[in-house]
Parts: sequence; structure tokens; C-alpha cells
Amino acid sequence: MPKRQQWMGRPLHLAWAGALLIGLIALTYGAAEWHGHWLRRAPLKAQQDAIDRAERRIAARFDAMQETMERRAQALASDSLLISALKSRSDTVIRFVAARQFPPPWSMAVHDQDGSLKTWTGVTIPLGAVAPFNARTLRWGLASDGDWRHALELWHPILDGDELLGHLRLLRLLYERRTVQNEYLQDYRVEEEWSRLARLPVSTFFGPQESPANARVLAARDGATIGYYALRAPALEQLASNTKRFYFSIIAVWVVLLLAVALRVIWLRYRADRSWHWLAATGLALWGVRFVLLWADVPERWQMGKAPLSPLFDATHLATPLGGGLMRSTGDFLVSAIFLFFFALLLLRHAHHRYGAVSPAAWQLLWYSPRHAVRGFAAALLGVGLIVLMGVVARRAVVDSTVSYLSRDALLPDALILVIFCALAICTLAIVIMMAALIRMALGAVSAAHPGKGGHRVPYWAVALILLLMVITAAHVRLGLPWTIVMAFLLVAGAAVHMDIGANLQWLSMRGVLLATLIVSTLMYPLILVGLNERRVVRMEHAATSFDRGFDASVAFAVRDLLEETRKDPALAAAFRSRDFTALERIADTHSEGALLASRGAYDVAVHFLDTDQMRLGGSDSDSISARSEALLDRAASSNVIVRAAAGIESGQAYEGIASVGADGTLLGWIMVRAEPQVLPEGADTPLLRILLPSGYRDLYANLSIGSFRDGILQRSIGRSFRHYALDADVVRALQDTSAVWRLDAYGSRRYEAHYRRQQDGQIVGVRARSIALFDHLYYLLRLIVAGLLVGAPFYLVGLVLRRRVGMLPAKHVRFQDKMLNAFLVMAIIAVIPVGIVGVRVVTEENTKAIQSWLRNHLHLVEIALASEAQGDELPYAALARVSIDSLAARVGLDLNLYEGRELIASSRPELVRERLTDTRMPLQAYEALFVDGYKFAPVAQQLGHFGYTAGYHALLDEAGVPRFVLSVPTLPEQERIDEERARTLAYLFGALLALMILVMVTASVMASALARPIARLQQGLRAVARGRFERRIAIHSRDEVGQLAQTFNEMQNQLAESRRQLTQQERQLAWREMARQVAHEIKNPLTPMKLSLQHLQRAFAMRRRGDVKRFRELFARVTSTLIREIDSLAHIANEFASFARMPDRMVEHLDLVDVMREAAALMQAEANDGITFDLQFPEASLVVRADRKELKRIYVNLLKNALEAMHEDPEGVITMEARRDADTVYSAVRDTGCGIAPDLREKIFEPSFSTKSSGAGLGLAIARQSIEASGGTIGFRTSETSGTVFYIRLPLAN
Amino acid sequence: MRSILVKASFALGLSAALVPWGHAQIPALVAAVDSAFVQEDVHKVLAQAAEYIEMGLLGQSRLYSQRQAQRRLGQFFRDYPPQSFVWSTMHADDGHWFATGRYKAYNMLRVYAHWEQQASGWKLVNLQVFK
Repeated sequence: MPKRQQWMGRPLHLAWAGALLIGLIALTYGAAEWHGHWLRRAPLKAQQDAIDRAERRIAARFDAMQETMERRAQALASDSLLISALKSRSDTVIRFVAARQFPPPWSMAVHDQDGSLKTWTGVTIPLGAVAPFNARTLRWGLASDGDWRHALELWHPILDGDELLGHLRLLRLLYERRTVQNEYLQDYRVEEEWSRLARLPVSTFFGPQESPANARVLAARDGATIGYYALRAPALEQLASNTKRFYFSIIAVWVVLLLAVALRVIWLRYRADRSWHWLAATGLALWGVRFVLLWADVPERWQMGKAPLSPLFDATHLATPLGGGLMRSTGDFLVSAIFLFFFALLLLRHAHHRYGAVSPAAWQLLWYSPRHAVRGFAAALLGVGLIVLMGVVARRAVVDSTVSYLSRDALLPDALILVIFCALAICTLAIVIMMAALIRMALGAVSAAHPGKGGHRVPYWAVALILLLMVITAAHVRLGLPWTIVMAFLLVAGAAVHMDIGANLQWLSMRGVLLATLIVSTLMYPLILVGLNERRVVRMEHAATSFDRGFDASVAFAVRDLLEETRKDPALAAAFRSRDFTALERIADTHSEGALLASRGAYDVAVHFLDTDQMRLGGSDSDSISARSEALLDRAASSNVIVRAAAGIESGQAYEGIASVGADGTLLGWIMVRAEPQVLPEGADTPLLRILLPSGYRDLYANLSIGSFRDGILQRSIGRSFRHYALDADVVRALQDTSAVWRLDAYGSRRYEAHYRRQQDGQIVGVRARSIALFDHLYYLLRLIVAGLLVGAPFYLVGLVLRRRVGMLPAKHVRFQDKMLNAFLVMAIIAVIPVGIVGVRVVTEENTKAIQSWLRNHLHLVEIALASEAQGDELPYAALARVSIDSLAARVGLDLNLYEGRELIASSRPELVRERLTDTRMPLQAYEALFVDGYKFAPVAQQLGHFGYTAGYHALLDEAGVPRFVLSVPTLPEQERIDEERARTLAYLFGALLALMILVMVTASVMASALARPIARLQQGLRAVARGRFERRIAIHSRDEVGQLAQTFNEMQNQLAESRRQLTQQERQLAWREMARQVAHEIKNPLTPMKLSLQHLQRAFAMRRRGDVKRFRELFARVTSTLIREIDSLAHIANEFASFARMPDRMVEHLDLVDVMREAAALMQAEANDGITFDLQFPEASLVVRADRKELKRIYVNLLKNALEAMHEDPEGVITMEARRDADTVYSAVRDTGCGIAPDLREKIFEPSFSTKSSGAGLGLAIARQSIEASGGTIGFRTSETSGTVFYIRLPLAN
Repeated sequence: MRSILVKASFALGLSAALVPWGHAQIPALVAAVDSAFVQEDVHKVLAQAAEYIEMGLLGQSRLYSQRQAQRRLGQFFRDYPPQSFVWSTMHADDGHWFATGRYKAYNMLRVYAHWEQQASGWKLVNLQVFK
């Protein structure tokens, strides 16, 4: 068995492994069954065990939380800096906290011994009714902000010895409610973490309410009740399901290992056989394993929704049923891509091993033979099919996902998009490899076939090309697949075959990986664009259809739903009867944030309760009911719910509804709801700030500008693109013939994709989305390249290992051109990286400065506005007593917050304050800058959920020069615009850098080639000299050192040629002398016996005359025989010399060396003794060389003769003839088991006059060497007096 | 038993709704979704879904393609297996049909569905599940 197969594990060990794994599966399954049986037998105990287990986990987690809080509080409270700051009553206590990080869910505050707040950070949660300002021990409790927030609270005394200096209040959020859910803002509930931990649904209860039945107390370490939590007893089915899932997760591990073993066995069997059947079996097994993994939910089941891998398997981001679930999530897509890659490698490996190298002649033969042309067409057709598949995959990856591929929030895409890009890159690479494998198989089949003579000269490639173009056109029309991409794929695959990437590990070098990354990314990008265009078209059509419908039935229903749900509130009737304003307000607040209406996005909602006399009892904090709303009461019946469109306002359609409230058949009053679209902030894309939009709303309208026109005049718009008031006349004309048009609009330097639709009522709605500019394309391509590099990195590492293993590393020889390219590449990277880093810093800093400048200027304008309102010598702050914050905000067109000291006292966006999106306390960093450091203006980075922005704070000073009030401006809408500009600038910067890198590489390639060319010519010249050809001149005419070197080389060549001529002349003379001597010597040998014989004949003739006729006859016959023999010998010597000396008249042709060797062997086998064995070791495939057939056969016959003669003392010897391909040459050998060649004779073996035989001129091997060298080959031998001699011949493989 | 309860609850729900003229097929669609929820039949729930459907399942509402919506809904059923489902309110408007219901998994959840009359027939365009 081959050593490698042994090293990797013999089948016997695999069988044991398989048996063990099957046993483990059976055992685990048995354990699952037993556990399930136990659950069924004792369900109550099982439920109680599950609950007890969950309680222990929750208790441990809660205790760990408190432990962490205590440790942090202890460390802070005992910090000497804090203690000295409190003792000195200085502002350093503020700096102490400002220098520390307290990210969510933490908050902290420090109070002095009087209870005054000295410093704070994090969200504000009001103090409880009784704060333990005198306590000297730890105090735990629950801090609540209505039903918006609940936090675990720890009061830690700050002591200096026995002196109580104050308290540190540390808060850890347990619950936070948000009115809108999107990627930036989500509710936080600690019960969700505990539910995952406990594997049971956990509900937590905080705040002033009765504890639910069966709820457990959440108690702090000091016994204080923090809240309650309830564990829902799991149903038996759920317990069984959880248990089953647990055991099946373990079984999944064994199954995966078993599948790996099975795959290994099949792979080994394929390697031993390499037949089509086992190829198919291996491929089927590979995909079978993949589908088994899908069925078993592997690896999704192992991560069980835990971070950080859970988003990979969340269908929210990407999911499509394509391929039976191969892309059912991002993680599954990546795994499927890896499987596809290995399948592609399998095909390529098969093609390589089965067919070997592809001869260039095969490309020609493919298209000039009908049979082979069919093969070629089939391969190309399959290739196009693979490209279509890739197009479908890329399209689905875009269309069936919710990720923002085109977002430019940061340079690099977020992790999920990066994973999708990696999967697409792997798929693209796999497709190219499969196409290369198919082409290679087609060409290999042609190469393996006998290269037929002639063949039809009809260019079948034209027919195949026409058919292929038809198929490509169909793919373009039907699937939108750009034909250029198809051609690009085919070209890349063809080039891959031509460069034999499957057998050439050089492609795993850094340059090879970089080039492959660039190619794969470039192929992938257009396919992704097809899907992005489709998604954009759908969104634009949907936006055009849904915008400006007038009455939006879904909003009207949401209002109706709000009325229905509110009047079902069990506390409503009691609140009506008791006229409890507070309770009614709470009910109104609770239900007005109803999830359904909030999901419709952009509406301000007011809920009012009216008694039977139509007097307002309570409700949302808003202005008095408008007269228009009161008109509803006239229509309202006692039991109906009515919703209607309210009179339009500028910002859009408003809705109002009314429902009766009754109990026990008695009418108690009415609920009235009004929903108004929010006013569009100037310059904002959407009515609401983007970060406050529900996700669905943003999916519909983000990055779109929409305008509605009536009679060609703009009525209403959202977004920044529709700034002109009149519709383009071309659009109006076009819409007369059709109901919808698509076009490219230009506005200044910007281009937009635009869609215009004529509504049934004659209005025209236009939707615009910004076109992708060239630098945008480069930027997105850069992101794909980053993903490609992530995929390429493991290839490079594997390549390092493989190349080292086969001896390619460290490289024995590195081309000068490659060194130049590597140097340029390193230079480009070294240049680009600092430029990129500096560019990002500059852009970011400029962005920050722009924001701060904007804030400073606008706040200054606000102060000027206040100054204009001030009377007499009043300072601007005094005007605030007369000017409301709302009117000031409306006047300056900004949202404003007003602080007195650190507390927020007014806001132009009270709903943000009410919804706890704006904190009621100034950020500590702003307070420190304005009140401690004495700055008039302070920009502060703030966070709203996961959205970071900058707010500006401006102090209004009083007469003493002390900040009396502070105005703040959040930059939210402006920040979006500035961030987008920043992202665009960065996109352009990195797009330009990418273009620069590509330009550098192309230039480097050209320059390296130009620099290396003269050196290559010098090298060729030197090689020619080594071969003895001195006539070749190097044509380098540059005026640099290289030119001088070439000139010197040419001069050297001339001198060498002259020397060689003289040497040749001398050698010729010497050879003639030697030849003449040899001829004389050889001729003299037979001449002597001829002379003696004739002399003898003369004497015999004289004897005949004396009567001895009989003796004369005998003598005559003997002498004539001798003469004839010696004459034959002379003739043979003359022929030998003629053969050696003659100019070759050779018939060179393509021939199969194996055939020639077989013929020679057949000839000599007949002459050999019976005991001599001929062992022929020839490959199945032909070994084609260019040589003279007869000459070659003579050579092998000669070698075989020599072998036989060497074994004359070994009647049972073995003569071995072998032939094989060795890189670009054919190696053949004749081996004998004879006596070997004596060491003193080895150097003369190829000399013309040398022979160990008694007869012959000793020219056989000399002639053989001459013939082999004339064919461009070499001949040599290895010998041993104990094991025999091997004569070997190397000939170039015919091209 | 469950099917009887489902049908009974559906009938009760229907009696509380307004059923305008010309919408006879809508109750059938609504009933189909009703039973599909209980059977965790994703394909049946989304059989009449538009090419792109706005869907929010105890989280962010997103605009999903129909194929992606199927997979997302399947995940939801796996994480929150239904014990019962019943429509509570239904309302029709010009070219629109709305329904809200109660979905019981581990706890009670609200379901909102919105069908819209399009050129190719009634299409489910919005499906939301709230706490």
C-alpha cells in the first residue's frame, strides 16, 4: 500500500472508527430514549427539576451581577482621588467620573453627605422615595423611572475612616422600554438573557405591582426585594422536545464524524481507482453529507441562538430556499460554498490525473473534428450553465436578504455582509474551477485520442460559437445575465486551463492569490449588481405605488386597532367612573405607543378621553381637542368605532377616530384618537429622524426621494432630490403613452435613477434613487476584494505548506521579473496604507470640525436671536423668560434643549423626553466643559441606542459670568447628512486608492517585463553560446549599462566564434588523422591475411602443375573463402565508417516511442536465449517524440544487443525496458542484469573506435549518441558490476 | 377538537367584523391563514403573500422577499411553537383587508395581517407579531 495512504490511515482503522461512532450514536440515542421514558413516567418531577435547574441558574447569574456591582462600587468608593475630591468639595469629583467609562447598561452617580448630586454618568433614573443618605452600609434596591426603566441599585457609602463623605449610587439596567424598534433602538429586558440561560421562558416583574401568582422573589444580597420573576412550567412536550434536542445535538457530533469517516473511505477508494463511477460516488457522497448536515441543522443547532454566531443563522438577514436549503441562512450559505469548492477541486483533480497535460494541438483538434467539436460545445454549454447558476445564486443572495450591501457607514462592510461576500467569492472560484475542469476533460479526451491525420478542415468552432452565443443571449434575456460576464467567465476558465493552474502550485503564491482575488471579485461584482438593481427597482415601484395614496388604509386600521385595544383595557371603566386623570393619562400613554401604529412610522398620536358631556377627562399630553375632532362626536353612535381622514395638513393626511366606552350597558364616555404625520425637518430625508424610524418603514423609503405632482406642479415630497417645483416636460409627454417610465435624471453633478408613475387620479409620483458613480463602484469592488482576501488568506497559507513540501520553497530560482513585481507590490502597499490611514484621519477630523463648526455657528445664531429679544441691557438669557423654547426652535429651524444647571427644563421635542430618548440631565462631559473648565461651547459625543452623534452645548452667561442656562442642539438630521458625505468621501478615497493599486500593478508588470527583457535576451544569448551557437547577436540598443553589457557580450561572442572555428579546424584535422589512422589500421587487418592467402594460392598453383590437383582444389576453396570473408569485413568496415561520417538523411516524424521500443524488443526477443526474460514497463498513454523511426529502432536494437552480450554468462537474466514521461521529456531505459562495465572503460563507452567485442568497428554507441543528440536528447548509462547496466535516453516530448 | 375550537373562534371573530360586499373570498383567505398558523404551515400562511412583504416577528419589521419571509416565519414557528391561534378583529376597507388575532405560544402574542387587492388578486402585504 502506498506510504501516503498508510500515513493518513488505512481502511481498517477507518472501519473501527466508523463502528465506534455508530456505537456512540446508538448509545446516545438509547440515553435519549431512556431520558424521554423517564420524563413520561415522572413528568411532574421532570418539570420540577427543570424549574429548579432554571432557578439555580438565574439565582447564580443574579448573584454574579451583584458581585460585579459590589466589586466595582467598592473599587470606586475606596479610590483616594474620589475621597479627596469629596473632602475638598471641589469639582475634581466631576473629573474623576468623566475620566472613567460607564457604558450601558451601567449608570453611576455620586452624592455628598447632604444628598446633593455631585457627579453622574449614564442614564438618569430618579431617586426613590427614600434615599439612604445616612447609611454606612451597602443598600440594595430597585430604581425605577415609571414603566420606562428599571435598574438594580446599589448604594455604597464613601468613607474616609469613620467619616461619611457621601454615597456612590451604582445602577445596572434590568429593563428599558423603547417606543420604536430598529437596528439602533431596541427594548432591553434582562429576562431574555435569563430565558436563554434557563432554557425556559422567564418573565420578570418590576415596579409597584402585586406579585403574580407563583412568582419567585428576586432578592438582593441584603434581602431587599428587587422584583419578581416567573418561570413557566414547561409542558411535558416542551421538556421532551428540549431533551430530545439536547441529545440530538450530541448525536449530531457523532454523525458528523461518521460522515467524515465515510467520505474518507469513499475518497480513498476513488484515489485507488480514479474511474468515472467512483468520481460520481465521491461527488454524490460529498453533497449527501451536505444535505445530511442541513437536515440535522448542523452547525446551527450547536450555537443555540448564542452570540456571537447567532446572526449567522438568523433568517432575518438572508434566507432563500434555493437548492433545498443550501442558502437558508448566511452561515449555511458559507458552508455550502465551501462544499461547492471541494466538489470543484474534485473535478479538477480528476481531469488532471486522468488526462495529464493538455497539448496545444488539442485546442485546434477540438474544433476541426466533428466528434471533438461536440465535446467542446458540451463543455462550453455546461460552463454557461454553471455561470447561470452563479448568477442565480448571487441574485438570490441579494434579493432574499435584508442587509444593506450599499451602505457606506464605514470603510469595511459589517461582519454579516463580509461573510456573504466570502461565500460568494468561494462560489465564484468554485464555478471557475469547475469550468476549467470541464474544458480540461474535453481537451484531455482529444489529447488522449490518437492525433488523427488530417481530419476535417471544416471549422466546426464557428457552428459551436453561434450555438453558444444563442444560449448566452437567451440567458441574458431570460435572467438578465450580462453576456460580457459570461464571456469573461469563459475566458478566465480557458486561461486557467491554458496555464494549468490545477498542477501549478505557483498560483498559491502571494501574487497568484492577489491576482485570483482581483479576478474573482471583478467577476462577482456585476452579478451582485444584477440583484441590487432588481431590489432597487422593486423598492422604487413599491414606494411609487404606496406614496401619496391619500387615505392610507393601514394607518386608518392602526388607529381603529388603537381604539379597540384601548377600550378593552380593564382599568378603563374604573378610571372613567372615578375620573382618575392620572390613570387615564397612563392608559393613554400605554396604548398610544401601540406597536401597530408605531410600525406605520411617522405619526404623532394623541389619545383623549371624553365624558358623556363631551368634556375632556384626560389623555395624552397635548393641546385641547380641535373643533374638527369634536365634529366626530356628532356622527358617533353608542357602540361603533369610526375612523376617518381628518382635514389635510401640510405634511400629509391625518386620521381621527372615536369609540365609545361603556360598562354594564351604560355609556361612560368616549375615546378619541388623532394621528398626524410628523412635520418634515428641513433637509431631512424622512419625516422622522432616521434612527427613530421603524425598520420596516426605513426598508421601504430609505435613500429614496419621492415627490407627487399634480398638473405638473410639485405637491408634496420627501427627500432631498425633488427641489424643482415643475415636472420635466419630457416625463409628462412620456406618461401620456404609458403609465410608468424609467429614466436617468441629472441634478447638478448628480445622477439619479428615476421612476415616474401616473396614478389613477391623474397625479404623477416620481421616485429617485442616487445612481452609483464610478468611484462608488470602485469602493464596493474594494469591499469585495477585502472579502476575497479573507478567502485567499487560507489558500496562501495552505500554499506555503504545499510548496514547501514539494521543495518549491525556499525557491531555488526566482525570476528577475518576479522580484521586480514583488518589489513594486510591496512599494504600492507601503504607499497605499499610510495614505489610507492618513486619509481616514483627515476626513474624520475634518468631519468632526465641520460638525463642531456647524453646531457652534447655529448656537451662536440662537444666542443672537435671544439677544434680539432682550430688552434694554438684558443679557440674552433673560429673554428666555419671555420666549418659549418651541418658538425659538421654530425661529432658528433647529431642535433645542434648555438646561438650567444640569437639569433639562424645556425641549422643543418633548416627546423624545417623554419617551426617554433624551435624558433629563446634561451629559457629564458637557457639564465639565461648561461649568468646570469654563468653556462657552462644548461638543459632546452622545449615543442614542446604538447610534452615535454629536450634540453641541452653549452656555448663556449671567451677569456674574457664570452659566445660567445651557442650550443644546442635537445634530441628528445634520449628522446624517455629514456622515453620508464623510462616507462618500471615504468611499471615493478608497476607490481611488484601489484604482491606484491596480494602476501600480499594471505599470509594475509592464516595467518589470521591460526591465527583464534585456536580461532575458542576455540569458538566451548565453544559452546559445553554451550550446555552441555563436552566431546569435543580442539586439539591445539601450544607452545604459545593459546596452554596454550587450555590446561586450556580442564582442565576446565574436571572439568565441573565432576561437571555436580554429578549434574546430584543429579538431577536424585531428579527427581526419585519427580516422585515417583507424582506417589504415582496420584495413591492414584483413589485408594481411588476404596477402598471405594469395601467396599461399600462388604456391598451391605451382603445386597443381606438379599433379597435386586435389590438394590444389582444397587449398583454392579455402583461400577464396578467406578472401571473400576478408573482403566482406573490409566492406563492413567501410559501411561503418560511412554511417559514422555521413551527413544525416533522416526522416523525422512524430512517433510513439513505446511502439518503437516494443518493435525493438520483439525483434531481439526472437534472438535471445529462452532463459532471458524481457520485462517491458510501458505506460498506457502514448509518449510522442520527434525522431527518425528507423534510427531510433536501431539504437534500441543496439542497446538490447549490448545487453544480451553482457548477460552471455547469465542464462536466466532479465532485460528491462521502461519508458515514462518526466516533466517535458520522455525517459526510456534498457537495463540488464549482466556483468556491468569495468570502471576503466566507462569513459570510452561512447568513443567511435571503442569496442569490447571482437568484431565490429565499435561505432554503435557513438552513432547512437550522435543520433540522440541530433534529436535534441541525451543518452547515458549507469553501471554496476554486481547488478548490471542501465542505458537511458531522454528525448523531448513532442509539442 | 382543535379544529372545532379554531372554527368556533373564527366564527365568533367573524361575527364581530364588518364584511363588505364583494369580499366573499377574503374570509376564506383569512381562515386559511388561521389554520396555517396552528399547523405551523409556512407555505400556507404565505401562500398569498406579495412578492415583497413587510414582516415583523417580535422584533424589527423588515421588508422581506417572499422566499426569505418563508424561512423567517419557519424560524419563528420553531422558536415559538403555536398552541392556539384565533382572529379577534377583522376589518375591510376599499381594496384592503385587515385582521388582528391572538397567537399563543409560551405567552400570548398579537398578530396583525394586512391584505391588499392588487392586479393579480388579494395579496398579503404585511404580517406583524407583537408581544
